[in-house]
Amino acid sequence: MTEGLTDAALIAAAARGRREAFSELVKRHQGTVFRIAFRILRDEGDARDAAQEAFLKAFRNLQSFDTARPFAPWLYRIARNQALDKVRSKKSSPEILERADIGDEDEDEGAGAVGRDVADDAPDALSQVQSAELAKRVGGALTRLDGKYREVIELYHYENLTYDEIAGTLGVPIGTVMTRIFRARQKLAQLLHEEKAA
Amino acid sequence: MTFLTHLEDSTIQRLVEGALDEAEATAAKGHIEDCSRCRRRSGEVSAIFTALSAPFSLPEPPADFLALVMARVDLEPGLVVEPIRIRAVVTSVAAGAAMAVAGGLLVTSGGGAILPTAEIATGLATLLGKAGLLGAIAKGGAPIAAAIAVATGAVLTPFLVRALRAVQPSPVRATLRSL
Repeated sequence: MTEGLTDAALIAAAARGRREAFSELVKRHQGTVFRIAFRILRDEGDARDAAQEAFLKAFRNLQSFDTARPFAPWLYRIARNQALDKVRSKKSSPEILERADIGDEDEDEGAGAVGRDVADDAPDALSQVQSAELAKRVGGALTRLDGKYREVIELYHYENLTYDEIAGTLGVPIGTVMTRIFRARQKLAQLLHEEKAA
Repeated sequence: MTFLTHLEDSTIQRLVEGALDEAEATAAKGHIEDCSRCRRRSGEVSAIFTALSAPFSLPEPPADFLALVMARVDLEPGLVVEPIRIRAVVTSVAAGAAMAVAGGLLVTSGGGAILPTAEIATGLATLLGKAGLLGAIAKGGAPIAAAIAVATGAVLTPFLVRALRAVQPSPVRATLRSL
């Protein structure tokens, strides 16, 4: 009955306390919300808890949500903040802090140098490997990216969010999202070259 | 439009992404055909895009995630039970009452045709379902049958509610708590 409704219609019904409408919203977004939390926390139990808290927080704040705005980025931002709060509460784990390093430092950091030191006559190594192997290497390189770059790449390529949605999720301007994605790909290319050279 | 120097990384990314307009894309492709360096870098970017489009294995939320969230939502104040659930309960009670009335009339008439039993039962079920018990009485049709239905409903409803409480999951229990 609620499956065909838009998010906005479901939010309006859920804001009036309709259980089934909110249940449908959870059903629609639970995968992305859970994965956003998991990517920051890298622990399924913690991700589940953070995702649950995110949905509860969203439910409690539905009354004040502006339905003219898209729902997903708002919800994903809550999930991201819940996961980051959980990271902060686990400050004794430096590994987690390192993984969740997705701060908003100066966007110009390292800009321009990345990917420009590739020798012109280097062999076209990437085109010669099988796609599965390449995907594995890219996955490995992703884990070595700064958190803020890894995050935009994952949201764009794996969660298929638009630039607008990513901007809403992260709470940054769309231009920043585009810049980060561009630089993230450059850094990926550089990491792959370094790996090849090593 | 032509590119006289090497393509910028941003241009190559936008070309691979399909974000360049037609004129820019044509010019960029023309340059790549003649420039081994840009061709190689374009190949690298394409490979990265391909790799990033491959399925990436991440855990999914647990199977009971939705139930866990909704169990906590159920504890939140201000939650309204679904109209469909209220209707289902009312309809069940109405149907039970109508059947009891029909049975009672059959017994009263000794199997004869003192009253149009089937029509009354059907009409009651419809009226009770659509307009509610009081609405049915207010409409004045078959007042005796309606009175019997009220009495029967009053007797049957607590049993029905208890039975549903015992067997139904939490959403229905939430509905019943509100009755």
